[in-house]
Amino acid sequence: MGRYSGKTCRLIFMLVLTVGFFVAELVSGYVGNSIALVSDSFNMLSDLISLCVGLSTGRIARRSRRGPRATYGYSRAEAVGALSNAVFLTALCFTIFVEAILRLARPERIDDAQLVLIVGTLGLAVNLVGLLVFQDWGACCRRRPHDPPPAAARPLPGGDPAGQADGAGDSPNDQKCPEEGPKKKKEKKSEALNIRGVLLHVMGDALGSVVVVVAATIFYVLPLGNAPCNWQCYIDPSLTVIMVFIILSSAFPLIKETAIILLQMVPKGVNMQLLTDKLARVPGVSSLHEVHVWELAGGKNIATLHIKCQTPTDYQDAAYKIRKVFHEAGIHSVTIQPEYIDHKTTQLLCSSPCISKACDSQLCCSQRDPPLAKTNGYTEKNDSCLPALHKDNGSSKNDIEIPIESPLSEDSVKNVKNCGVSKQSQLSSTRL
Amino acid sequence: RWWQNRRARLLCMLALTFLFFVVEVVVSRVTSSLAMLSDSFHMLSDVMALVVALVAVRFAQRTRATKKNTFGWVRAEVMGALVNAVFLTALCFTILLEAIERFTEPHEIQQPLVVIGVGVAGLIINLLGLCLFNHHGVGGHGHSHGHGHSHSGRQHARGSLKPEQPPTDGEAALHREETSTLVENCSSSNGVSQEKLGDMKDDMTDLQVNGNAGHYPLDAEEVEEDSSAQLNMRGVFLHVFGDALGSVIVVVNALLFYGLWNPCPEDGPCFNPCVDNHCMENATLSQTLGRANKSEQKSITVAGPCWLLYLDPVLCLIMVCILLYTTYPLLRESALILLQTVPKQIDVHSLNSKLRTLEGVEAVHELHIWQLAGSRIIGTAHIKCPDPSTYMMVAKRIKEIFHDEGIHATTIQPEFASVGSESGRGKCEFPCRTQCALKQCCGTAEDSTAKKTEKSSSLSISCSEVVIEFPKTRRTKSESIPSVKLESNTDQNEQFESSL
Repeated sequence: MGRYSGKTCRLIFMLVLTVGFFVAELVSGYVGNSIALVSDSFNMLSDLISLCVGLSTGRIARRSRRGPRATYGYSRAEAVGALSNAVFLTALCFTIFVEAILRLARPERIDDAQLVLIVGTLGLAVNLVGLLVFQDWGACCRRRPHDPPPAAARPLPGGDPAGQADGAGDSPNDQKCPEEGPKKKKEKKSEALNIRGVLLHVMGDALGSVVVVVAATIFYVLPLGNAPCNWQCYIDPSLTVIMVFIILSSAFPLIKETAIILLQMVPKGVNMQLLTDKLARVPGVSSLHEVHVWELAGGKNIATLHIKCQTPTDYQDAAYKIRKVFHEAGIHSVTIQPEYIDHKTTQLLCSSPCISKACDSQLCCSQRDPPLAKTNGYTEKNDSCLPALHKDNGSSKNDIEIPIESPLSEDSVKNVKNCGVSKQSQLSSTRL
Repeated sequence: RWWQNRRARLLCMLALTFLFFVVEVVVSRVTSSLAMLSDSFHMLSDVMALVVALVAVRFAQRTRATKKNTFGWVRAEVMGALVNAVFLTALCFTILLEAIERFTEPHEIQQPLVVIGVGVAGLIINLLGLCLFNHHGVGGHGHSHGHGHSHSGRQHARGSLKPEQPPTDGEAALHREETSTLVENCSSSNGVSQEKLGDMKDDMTDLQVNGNAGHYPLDAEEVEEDSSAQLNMRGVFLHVFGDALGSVIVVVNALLFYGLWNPCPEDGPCFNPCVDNHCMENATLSQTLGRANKSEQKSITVAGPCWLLYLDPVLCLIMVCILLYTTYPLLRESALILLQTVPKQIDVHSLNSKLRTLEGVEAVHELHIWQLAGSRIIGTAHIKCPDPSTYMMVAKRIKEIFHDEGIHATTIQPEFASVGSESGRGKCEFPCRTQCALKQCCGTAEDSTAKKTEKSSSLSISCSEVVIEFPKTRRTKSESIPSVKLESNTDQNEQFESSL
């Protein structure tokens, strides 16, 4: 695997460039005794920080080896990094906005217009280079060598077994998973998230440089001398306010997109209603509940669900078809828990949520409220409808039901205690 | 008590802070003090942090599954905590920059008395906020009584017997009107689902089962202040803490300035050694020297002492260090939850070995544990058993093992090795197709054609998966890639699979 993929290469290049320019601006600012230069150099510093965040999260995400601390690896690091960058940028915009308002309240002139103009132009040049570098995908280095391994693995076995494998498994729906296209797109999507965070910063910086150049040009061309501030002094702050709004309007979509991943929302392009409808129509499935679909990162969707079936063979037949439904929807990691119908619980409720009722608050979805049909659970219509009420699971909270059909409850008391104890230990340990 | 309600606290603090911000702006206009105006914006950043926390709390109260989010919105608070922590870090960064700039160009404080006055007022408000959001206090009060009505933290569509009914209706109405800032296109669907909730409430009352006739057991209410809520409150607490530190610095600085600073009088010669101003220096120096020659009795006012001017930046630097040190743990904790890592208290290795040593379990793979928010931990696993009846026997034990670890929401997929297959015991029976490898959460599904069994195609969808087991010995990455070999090495020590 190449150590330097296109993305890292670009980031490192920008990093070096930005560091160089930051140092140069800082030095010249102190030598030339210009505060404007020093403050502009700090803009570069914030750019640097965002680049570092982007680089490091990219590294972490790529190295995502699954381990005892993270069973999914760290592929989400890019989303978290993008969110951090976007929030960081928002905070910076806020402070810039505050300064602009202060300037509007008490306008000041630009003193050394020429110096500011020169450095501003240089800064703009650096930022434009950065923008170009990030926009051009194939500019720097080769793309991440993701494509070779599967492509290589396919022809490797070659011949009959491959034919068989494809023949056996493939169904008319093969087009759903073509080799190159969506894969690249999905990769691009997750890369895009990370790079977009950095790109936002660079763009913000570029806009800032544009404002500096415009303001300095005006002062250079129409020098103010010792006259009191006229309209010229208001150009800088008002342009800055406009710039802040432009940046914020492009930061929020990025925040929204990372929110979709981080909040475990249903990924775009998956329609839960349709999906549950299709799933409910799979023969052998009496009802389903606890359907969860979420996106890990970069197009990898994961689903879990519980289905109720009559017999184990029902389950095995249904499982394949269920996977096919999910596959068509673009979800490729599915975990299906079968439950066999016992007439004690309603169709929509889980037969085996946890072994004790006291753990209800720690379930991802509380069992006390019947799940919303159509988003999280579905009963087939042809089934005789919800069996009559169970006085069961008594209203007493100490009633522990272990719904799987096996003799139980000798250790029911122990289980209650365990639930309480484990709750306690979690509470105390998740608090730092 | 109302103050134990998270939202009430947030709203109260929000109102106070915003009011104070307005007051500060007005005062700064009146006294035309720029420093006051810039200080007032610190309060504004506080307001923003409070708004973020409020939005997160509002979202997190919708714990029901919706069309847009099958887990409900419980994670919102963790995300709010992360946003607040990053926001605070960014503010620290800008304060740092300002402090450095002050080092190079120190200013004096104009009108120290006004600054002291407003600084003290700000400090009082911040101290009040600290009391409100002190997370130790919050946890303690939360446990003292667990009545449903005092906490609007949970919103469930329960039957009408609930004591919480009136606030819930109000909440539902609020939710319907509310537009989310985070995800705009969601608000209508959430509103719809809430409405459906309302309709369904009536239908569901007949179907209400499972002890809704009773109330929530009192001890269950204790977990109201879930750890995710605590994270959120911690974020707000840190913001208020930072602001309080800032106010302390302002007050201390202004006091010292008022007491010790010897300002340059309006008239008369003045030599200000602190401000590095070349021309002025020469001019005044020559002037004063000239004057001094005339009359030695006249004393030259020297502005100073100079170290006072550097006090502000130094204190700011110290404050930034303190803030960063206290924000980092919050940042780390919320990031770890969002990254889907295994919660600290769970040891996946031992869990895995416990599962594997069960009678009737042949292999365990795709074991995933992650924390949704707070104490809700979710686990999934694929368990391979010889046949369905064995599975029925161990199913309960499996759930118990998970339960003991604190994982209560599990999805266990049983897989039954097909008749006559000698292929890897750990092979996943129900993977997706080969081309979908990269889109699986974990799996570089490589072709295992060599070991294709005679299973009927209805059972498996062509490809096989590498086993995810946690071995004693780890092989290097390069060895795990060629999967074709992997199948033939089926044995206990299958390696770690390095994902994409």
